[in-house]
This record gives sequence, structure tokens and C-alpha cells, in this order.
Amino acid sequence: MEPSPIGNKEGDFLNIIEAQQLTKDYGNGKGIFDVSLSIKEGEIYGYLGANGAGKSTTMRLLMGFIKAQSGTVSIGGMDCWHKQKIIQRNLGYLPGEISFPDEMTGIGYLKLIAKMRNMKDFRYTEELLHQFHLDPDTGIKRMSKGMKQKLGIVSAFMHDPDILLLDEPTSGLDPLMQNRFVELVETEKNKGKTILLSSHIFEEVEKTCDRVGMIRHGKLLREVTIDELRHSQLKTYIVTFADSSNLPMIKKSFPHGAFKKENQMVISIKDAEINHFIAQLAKYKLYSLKEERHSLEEYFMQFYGGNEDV
Amino acid sequence: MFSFPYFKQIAISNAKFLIAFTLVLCIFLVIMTNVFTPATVDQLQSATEGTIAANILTGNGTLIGFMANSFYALMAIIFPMAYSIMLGNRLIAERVDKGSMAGFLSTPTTRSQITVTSALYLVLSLIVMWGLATAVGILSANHFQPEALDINTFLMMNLGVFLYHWAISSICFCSSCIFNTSKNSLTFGAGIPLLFFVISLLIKISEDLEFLKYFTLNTLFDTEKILEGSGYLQDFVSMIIISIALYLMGILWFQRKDLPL
Repeated sequence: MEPSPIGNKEGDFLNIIEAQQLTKDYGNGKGIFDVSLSIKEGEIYGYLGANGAGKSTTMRLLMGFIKAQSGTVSIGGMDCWHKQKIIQRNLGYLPGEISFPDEMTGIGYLKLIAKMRNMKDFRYTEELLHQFHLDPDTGIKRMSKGMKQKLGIVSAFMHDPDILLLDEPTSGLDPLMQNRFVELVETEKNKGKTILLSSHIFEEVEKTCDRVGMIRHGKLLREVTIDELRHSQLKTYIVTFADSSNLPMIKKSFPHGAFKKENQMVISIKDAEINHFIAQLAKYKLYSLKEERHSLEEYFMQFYGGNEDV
Repeated sequence: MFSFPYFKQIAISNAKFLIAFTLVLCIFLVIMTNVFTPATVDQLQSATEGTIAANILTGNGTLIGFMANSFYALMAIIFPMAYSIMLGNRLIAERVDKGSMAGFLSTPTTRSQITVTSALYLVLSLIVMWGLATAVGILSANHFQPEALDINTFLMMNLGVFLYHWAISSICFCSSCIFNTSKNSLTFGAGIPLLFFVISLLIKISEDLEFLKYFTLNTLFDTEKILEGSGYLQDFVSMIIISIALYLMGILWFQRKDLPL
């Protein structure tokens, strides 16, 4: 009997995806360096990093498309290079840069992939096509980027694999379809699937993942649970006061606020301080209040106190 | 080692090229057997006497002799070469370059299943191409100039030109397996066959460049020897060995290399 990709079930803390001191150096600082990951069965792991940080390199190592220079990487206890084809029976992959043979139709492609996987049952595929409003009879050449992305998602999920590697899965999807995708990930999570999801968008990871690894310049900076991430993070608000006459008093009330313009304050606070902040604000007449979105780098900075060389 | 669904996909997606190239080859053979009557052969021989063209166009005055020095010296070399260059690149390197290979390789289908299936398609398509061209050549010669064509020599000529193109396609295929971008795959996959062709032309133009024959594959497809009916066996065997070696090298290389998918 061939080894099952799930491996032996010993307790609840079995690591399905395991990387130890993984290094793949492409030169010029590209690649990944000394990355260690362990993802448990049933976990949704967010792999957060800017473009070129090494997310796709990690995915390629997990898929057995490239060989590591040092370190080990395994899925279900099997080496990702030597046992790639056994692993891939029970794995779905969505590449970061998606492409299909232009001359095929969507359904033609899905049927071909199904045959190459020896997959007989097409019901779940049809369900997915319906969920994502994808007309599979369209020629791939005429598909928009979003449609191709949907086709990629369907082909990664259609054989109902236990492990999913998704490289920037929502790129090119409109907000409605992004929500559909989040729902799909939740459904799959409830089925007990293990998912590694890479992204450069903080919100995408925040919505779907249990745990997040942050990667920068090929190095894994830190791993945090999604709750830690949510609560430790500072949120930045831009407050515009209607009346600038009592500015000295305002400045006294908000010692951490920065005043760029005459009556506009930029302030970063933790969620835990929000009630106090609102109470303070209520004392003054406001013109507007809005939250400013952070860039990924800014999130990383919060964890690293602005140390560029980490 | 072989994936039938994948074979079907590449056969369908490349059928239009096979049909177009085969059709043009057949049309050329029909024209050849139609135009090269003894009268035009005499005309051409006297017209080119004493010029470089005479060197290139010399023949023994038979239909197959004339085809050997015109069709099999130029059209039958350069035209199907374009097919092998294009297909060789399309089958592997282009799919890696554009990224569609990722979808196929994320299934349990192995890298060697993909390469062996692709190699088999390329070779089979060349067999179909030359098989049909041979049949059409014989039929059309029988129709336009009954008894004029030496069938045995014609069959050997086509076997030779098929082996030549098999060897050319092995260069294209191997290059396609080694390189991850169409650009690099074509630099060698198209560059080497075209260089061979240019060298073979240079040899015909000047006798001083005779030594260059060791630097081109075209030497192994020697129409003179085939016309004489002897001495070409070791050339044929050499082409078969080169083809198998390069196809194998491509398949093994692809199995080990890093893929940017």
C-alpha cells in the first residue's frame, strides 16, 4: 500500500506541512533563506509578504518544482521533491502567475486535468463553477484575468484535496468574488482541509487564516496567530476638527497625535484604547474621522519597530 | 511513461500546424513531379551551365535526380525545419515560460510522462508528415509521368529526409527541455539547425570550405549517395543515434531541473 498523504494520525498536533531551515538562493538576495514552517492538519496558514519576498519560491519547493539547496521540506511526512507525485494526488495548487493553453475552453481544460488526475466525479466541479459564476464553455483566449483566476481556483479545488497551496488566490477577482473565495476557504476549513495561502494583502489573510507567517527578503520574520495580529496592531485614524480655536486643549487631550495640517490630527492607537479615544473625541466638534489603511511594510514595521535590517 | 489525455490535448492544439506543413509539402511534390519533365530538365541544365547554380542544380537527368538537387536540397530541408523549431518550442519551453505547465504538473502526471508524450507526438507527427508526402509523391508521379519515378530511390530519399528532420527535431526538443524561456530555447533550438543549413550552403558554394562538412548535420543526409544507392547506411544510423540521444537527454534534463512554475 502506498503511504497516505495524511500520514499517521497521532494526536491533534500533527504537522502536515513541515519545512526545516529551507534555503533556495537565486542570487541578488532573491529566494528564501533558512525558512522553517510547520503547519498543522486543519490549519489555514497565511503567508504574508510583499512581491518578491519569497512566497512563490516556498510554494515551488512545496510542489517539487524546484530543489532546495539546504534544509528539508515535506508534506504528510513525504519529501516534496522525491515523493511529489504521491503528494500531489491529494493536493491542489493555484499558481501565482496563472496561465492555461489558449486554444482550449474552460471546460475542456478542467476535463483534461480531471483525466490527468484520474478523477471521475465531476459534481463538485460543477458546484464550484456555479459558485463562482464561471461559464466554462468560454475559450480561454477570450477570458479576462478574473475569469482565468476563477478557472484556476476551480481546478485547484475540484478534486476535493486535503491540502491546498494557494499563491495569491484572489488577485484579479472582483470584491464579490473575493468574498465567495473567503466563503469557500471557510467551507474547506470546516471540512478539515489544510491550507497554505500566500498574499501581499493584509486584509485577505486576516479574513481567512488562523495563523500568519510574515516573510520579508526571503526570511520568515515572525509567526503570529490571527488574534495576536489583530489585537497587537495599531490602527491609524485621521481626525479633522471643525473648530481650530481650542487646538491647544485638543493637543493636550491627545499627546500622541501628530498635527500635519492646522486642524488635522493623525493618531495611531491599539484596539484596547478605542473606548477611551472615542470618549476624548466626543468632547470636540469633528469635521471628519477616518481610518487609514496600512501598507504591508507598515504592518511589518509595527512588529519590528522600524528596524530595516531584520 | 505516457499520458493519453495529454497526448490528445497536444495533438489537437497542434493539429493545424501539422496539416498546414504537410499540405504545403504535398503541393510541392505534386508540382515537382508535374514540372520536371525531361524537356525542362534539359532546358535548365543548359541554362545554368558554367554558373554556381549548375553546381547546386546538377543532376543525373532523371526525375528523382532532379528532385534530389532541388526539392531535397532546399525546400524539404528548410521548410519542415521551421515546423520542428516551432513545435519543439511550443511543446515544452513555451508552456514553462507562459506557466501553463504548472497546471499539468500539479496533477499526479509526472514530468517524464509529459516529456515522453510530447516527444512521441513530435516524432509521430513527422512520420505522418513524411508518410503522407511520400504517398502523395508516388501517386502524383504515377499520374503525371508514369514510370518516370524510381520508387525505391524515392522511398530511400524520403526515409533519409525524415531521419534528418527527426534529428533536427531532437535538437529543438532537447533545447526546449533544457531552457525555461522561449527566447533561450529558440536561440539554440532554431539557431543550431539554421547554422547547419547555412554551413551546408557554404560547402556547395566553395570547394575550399569542404572541411566544414564535419560541422553540419546536413552532411548525413547526402542525396548523392542515396541516388547512387549505396554508402548512406551509416549516415542513417548516425542520425538515428543522434536523435535518440538528444531526445533522451532532454527528457532526463527536464526531470531534474528547477521549474519556475
